[in-house]
Amino acid sequence: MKYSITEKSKKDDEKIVRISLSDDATPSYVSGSKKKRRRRESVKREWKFVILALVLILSIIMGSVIRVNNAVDYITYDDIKGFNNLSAVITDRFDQLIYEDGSVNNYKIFGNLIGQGESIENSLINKHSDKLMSDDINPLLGYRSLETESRIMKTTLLSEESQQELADLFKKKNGCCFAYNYETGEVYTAFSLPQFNPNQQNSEYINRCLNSVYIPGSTMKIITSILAVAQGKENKKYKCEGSYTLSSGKVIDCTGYHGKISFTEAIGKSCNCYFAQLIMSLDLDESLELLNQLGFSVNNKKLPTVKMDELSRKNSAVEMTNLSSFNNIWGLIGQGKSRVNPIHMAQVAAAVVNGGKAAEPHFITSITNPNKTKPEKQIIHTATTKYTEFMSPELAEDTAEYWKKAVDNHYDLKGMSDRITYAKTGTAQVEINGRLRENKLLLGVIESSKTAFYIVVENSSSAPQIFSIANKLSELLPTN
Amino acid sequence: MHKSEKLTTKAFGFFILIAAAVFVIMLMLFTINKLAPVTKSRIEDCNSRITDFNASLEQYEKEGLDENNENVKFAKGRVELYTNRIKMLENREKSYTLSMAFVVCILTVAAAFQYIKTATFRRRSIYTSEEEICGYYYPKISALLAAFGILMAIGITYRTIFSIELFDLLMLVGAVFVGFVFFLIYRRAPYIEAKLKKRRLKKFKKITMADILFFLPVVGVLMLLAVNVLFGVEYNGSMLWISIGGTTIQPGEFVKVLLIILFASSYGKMWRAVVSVFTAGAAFLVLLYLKDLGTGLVIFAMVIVLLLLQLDNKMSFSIFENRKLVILLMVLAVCFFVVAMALFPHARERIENVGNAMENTERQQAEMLRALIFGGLGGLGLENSNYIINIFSINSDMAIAGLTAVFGVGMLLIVLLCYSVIIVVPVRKYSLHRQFYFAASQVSIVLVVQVILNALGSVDVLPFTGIVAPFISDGGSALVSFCAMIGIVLATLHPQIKSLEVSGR
Ligand SMILES: [Zn+2]
Repeated sequence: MKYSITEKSKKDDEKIVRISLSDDATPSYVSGSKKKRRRRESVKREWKFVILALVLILSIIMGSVIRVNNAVDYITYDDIKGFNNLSAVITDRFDQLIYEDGSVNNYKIFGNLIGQGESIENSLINKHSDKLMSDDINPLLGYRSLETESRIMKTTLLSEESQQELADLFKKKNGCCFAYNYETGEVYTAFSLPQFNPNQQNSEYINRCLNSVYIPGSTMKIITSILAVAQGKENKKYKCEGSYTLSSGKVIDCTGYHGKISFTEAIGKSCNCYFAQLIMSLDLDESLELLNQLGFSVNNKKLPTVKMDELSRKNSAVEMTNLSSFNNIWGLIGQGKSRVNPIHMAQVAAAVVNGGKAAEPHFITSITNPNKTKPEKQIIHTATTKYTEFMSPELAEDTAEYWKKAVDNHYDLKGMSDRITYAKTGTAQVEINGRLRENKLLLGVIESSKTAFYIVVENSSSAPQIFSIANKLSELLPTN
Repeated sequence: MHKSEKLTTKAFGFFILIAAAVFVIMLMLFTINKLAPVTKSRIEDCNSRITDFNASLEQYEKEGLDENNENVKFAKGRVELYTNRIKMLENREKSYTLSMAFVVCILTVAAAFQYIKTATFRRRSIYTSEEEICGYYYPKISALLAAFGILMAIGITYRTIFSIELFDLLMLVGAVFVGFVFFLIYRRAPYIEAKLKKRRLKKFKKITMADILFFLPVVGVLMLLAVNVLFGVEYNGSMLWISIGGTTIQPGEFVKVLLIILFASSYGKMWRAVVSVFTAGAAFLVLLYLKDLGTGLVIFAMVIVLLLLQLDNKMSFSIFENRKLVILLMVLAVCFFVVAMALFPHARERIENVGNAMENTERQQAEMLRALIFGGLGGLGLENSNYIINIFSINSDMAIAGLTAVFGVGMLLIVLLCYSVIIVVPVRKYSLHRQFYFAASQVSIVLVVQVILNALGSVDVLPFTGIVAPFISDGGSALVSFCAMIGIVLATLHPQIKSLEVSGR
């Protein structure tokens, strides 16, 4: 195709073309200073587009970088595992694997303590995910600096087989079993039934040792005893006639007819009538103070969450406003509104036996990162033993003496192993689905292996069963 | 212009194209080298899946399930899918190499043409000297073509991670051919218009043939939309596809090209601008109805730019005495946009979802953010690219972010620079013909909006609109329409137009 232009206008048009080439927007008829100004504007305008393009590039890059940077906080252990196909391993105290390939699938007995990614919030995996995965995100290399060898979390727990043996003795009943060394703080077992099953919907995610509180039953009487000894009220004898009527007319039943009995006898026989009269003789303020020191949340007072290796446990709670009211007496006997946490109870029992103080429980011996070449850099976390002082040494010693006497002389502990030096059973009435049931509880100390334990078997009142669990536990513990 | 200067600028255009070709070859060699182990592991993966499904098929046979059972159908479909995938993976390198070679060819041919064509131009165009051609046009065209080639090559490389077949190469060739045709025709558009202006209808003397030509894209847009609404196939929750003989096409992509042509030819005439804006409004509504929020946004931006250009007095082509009408139209467009956004729940939902992708870890933006975090500034690398292949619509709507996740921020920078060249070069200076300036600015705004929405939508900074990245994303319709746009832009930069403009005055 030819573009025809008449010869006549050729010269003028050429002029326009030339001007347009150097300064496109300026028509040829614009002259002088105006032309210069327009040229300047045109130059400015050309650079405007370049600047706009740079702004475009920068905003896209900066927007992405900022958003990605914010998203880093949301990266979970599971995400990294999914990318790297490398998960941490967890071992028991004998270096046997109890968790690998990111799953507790085959190790259900540990399930709701160890956890499975984020599905169990209050679990070792979830609370220590920052130590179990590479957290040094290299902004240049991203996670390609990821490790090739699994990090190792060594726990203080007994072997899976041992714990399974204990669990089998529950005979399909729910409950929990906590045992720990009160000198070192090492937790031997903290399993909870029903077990966690990742392949099952609505599986049990709660570890009852950590996250539950129970009506204590007679195990509460150990706490009440501490209060009595502290106030020097333990020397008086009281009469038991099978039941005791309060001035308000309410009646406290006893387990039997005990007659006039002493403090140690009352502990051994778990006499409700004796304890009712003992509680009424207690001083309210002093009792409140001591309960506070023992770690109880009194009258719904909010206490700071107690943490062991980042795992939180529930606080035990009692109600105490008037020591002659039925509710308060009934609570200190171990029914009513008192609620105890298994781990807390084991700690208090340990403190009684151990001169007033007990180690804080911990689950992790060490976390190591084998990817580091220098041995001192491999260690990410090591256990430290901390002690909590629950009471004065004198108080602890006195209380322990009474408890020991009671166990040795007045307690019917048929079927209980000799290794268990201190024990207090309890039976708590609970309402489950509108029906009255009984939970069996056992608080005890095994001095030979410096172990305090608390066992709960739900919906059971069989003493032999809970004794068999305690006996088995005493066999399985490592002896010092 | 001195002779030495002329040579420098000529050489600049030439070398920029050759450099682009070298970049493409390097990228190709790098990719082929890194891809082999990834291909191997993916083939193994497919094989193990086939074994699994065959095992369950045997199981079904034992159970006595017949052919029509859902499980049997599913398993059979999967076996076929993975068999095809293995076939694709085995031929992947061949298809990839051929596609990249095609891009290298375009670039080298363009470089060679510089020398051949300069002479031809000098003979042909009376008013443009060789110096002007070399100094003014060729660096621009070369930069544009180089950016285009690099983007195409990066796109091919990126799509190869997921799947590439010889059919994709055919699509590529077809798209480039369509672009070339657009270039050939569109560079004559003002001339054709000028010629047809003189012809009038016999019965209605006021109507010229040019006016009838103007209405062709209007009819085209409306027909495409009608076809889409009537024969739309639902896919991924929106009905943007129509199925023709085994392949699917997306009419929405072609609507954009037609609107560019329409908007460009509306320069200088108010009634045409009004018709254009209303056509665009109709397209906007229909696309929003079809749940294509992204294309809707692109069209909205196009309208705003069209109206802004009409307002620009300095450009000497603002022939509107009635500026108020233009401003009114612009206000109307904004109101229209806001109301439409409020009316369509799916649009509102997407806007409300911005910024909380990580709370819902299943969302594709969350997966993309994780990939970007794991990749770091350097990217995951091709060897780890398997990590992202299962993200939904990774090779189309998430392309720019996905590219960054695999190749790193350096590649993102290259891509954005190339986009910037294509966006800025045609509009930086007013081209001489107003129609062309209108066209070039429309292409630029389309690219700007698509790039921003694609890049930031997939990392949860902007609403995720399901819009493709120009030249990079998978999808034949989009590729063809963007090649057409490149053709249009090249036409606006073509030197012959100068003489046209002159004769038009
Ligand atoms: Zn009694």
